[in-house]
Amino acid sequence: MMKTLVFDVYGDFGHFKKFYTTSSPLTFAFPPPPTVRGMLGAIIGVDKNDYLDVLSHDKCKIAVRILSPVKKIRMGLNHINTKGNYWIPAKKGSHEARTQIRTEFLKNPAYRLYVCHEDDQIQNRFVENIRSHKTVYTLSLGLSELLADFKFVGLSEFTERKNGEGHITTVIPMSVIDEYGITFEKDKKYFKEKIAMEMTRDRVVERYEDVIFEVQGKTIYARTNIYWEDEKGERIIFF
Amino acid sequence: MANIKNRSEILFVYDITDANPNGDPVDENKPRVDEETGVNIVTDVRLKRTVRDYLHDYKNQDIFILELRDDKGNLKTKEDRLAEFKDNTDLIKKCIDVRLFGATTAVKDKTMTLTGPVQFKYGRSLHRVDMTYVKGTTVMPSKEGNKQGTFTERYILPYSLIAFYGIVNENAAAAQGIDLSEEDVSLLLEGIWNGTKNLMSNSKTGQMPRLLLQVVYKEKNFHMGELDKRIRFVSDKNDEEIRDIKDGRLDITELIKALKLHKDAIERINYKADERLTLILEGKEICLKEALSGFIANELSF
Repeated sequence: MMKTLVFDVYGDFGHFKKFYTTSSPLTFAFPPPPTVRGMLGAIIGVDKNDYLDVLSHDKCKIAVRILSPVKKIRMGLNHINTKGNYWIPAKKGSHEARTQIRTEFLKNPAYRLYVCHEDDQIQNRFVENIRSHKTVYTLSLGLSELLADFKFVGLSEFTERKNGEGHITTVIPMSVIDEYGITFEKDKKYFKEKIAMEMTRDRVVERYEDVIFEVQGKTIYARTNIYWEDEKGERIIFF
Repeated sequence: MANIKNRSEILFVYDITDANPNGDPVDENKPRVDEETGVNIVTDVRLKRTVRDYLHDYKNQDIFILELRDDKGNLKTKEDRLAEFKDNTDLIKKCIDVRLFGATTAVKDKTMTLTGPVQFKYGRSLHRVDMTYVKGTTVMPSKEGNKQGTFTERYILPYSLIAFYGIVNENAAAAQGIDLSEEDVSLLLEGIWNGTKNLMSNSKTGQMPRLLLQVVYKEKNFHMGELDKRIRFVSDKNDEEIRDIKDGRLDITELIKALKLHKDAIERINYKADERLTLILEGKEICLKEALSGFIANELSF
């Protein structure tokens, strides 16, 4: 049994940069685990140098559910041009002062997060802060200016179960799905993205994984070697 | 000056007439519009630029992110600019924009990654906007030998009423060793209001601040969130036909309701409203002072 905090985060825009795009940043459809850990760190006030440690993969389980259909918009942003490792704020020779970056944003993103920390004290701080709508640092969706709001949903007991099939509400790492384990249903749109799963405090990614999700926020019917179920029968997968 | 102790939230509403509040450089410098909803978007950077320029030009404040020229008329590089400060501590102490908005520098030996204690979301218009394409002419040729001026073209919005929302986070300041003072925050508010009014560029004339609200909390780590989602601009006209602040009324019913609900968490409210703005509370016209009765409310005097 895992005492799990369930809450929603949402905002006008989100941007969770794909690691293989630099000059034309694209966004993932949902926040990858290291990003979620950063958001959790902001809520209880863990320093940005420490949160990947304090809220690491083995101490803090998280699951992410997409609540609203994933929509994207592109906007051009003016960045300063630091090519050649310097910045001159004006055109000089062939060096432009600024560089325009066409950036992809998620529109009206909303997610349900499931959080369970092995340390009761830390878990209680999460619950208390989310319940009373408090955050130590300002919460955002990927970039500091993409401010987020959040709402307490509840506390649930999730029980770990092995080998079963059913509708899963969260995004699913491919590694837990049995071979040919997904039942593809009508009116659902399935997407797969490779995301960072575990990151050290030096920001070195230790594990990437393919994750499958339904882009409109619908459930996925799958046969998995592990899943977690609550008293109401909701099935989720912790990363 | 004492450092800030409280969390606060900022709501700022301004409008623009026959101009471009924020052009998209990779889209012909068109005003940013969400095609799905017709809502006009203004980046946080635009508002910060407004504040920086005002504080530098009118309030004698040191600004780090600024276009400065040396004696020969060449613009200063980031290295040159950084060399003017002893170290990062000195830079934070001197430059108000770094204290407010943070800064990231990747210059050798002087790297700095400061998250600004003050963060703004992108501003959004409170109604669908209409985009207009305007052509004009210039009288002076751009090059020697040209016999005539040329055509200019630009996209403008006949009208857009834009709401910005931001948070001032006291912990972000303290954790990073930023001495953000109450005075800095007051200057920020003044910069938002007067800077918006004073922007003397062709594309920004016609901007007017309409409403500014700072909700200061006494409850630790708490803020209401989404102040911008709690106001509505209601008009008898079609959204795209709105041309003036008098064409509609700003409904603050939900905002006031939320403020009252969290009254115990709020220490005080600072505000300023433009006289041409009509506010509506529960269907009735009201002035802001009256709407905020019951709170310790101070009208900002700049």
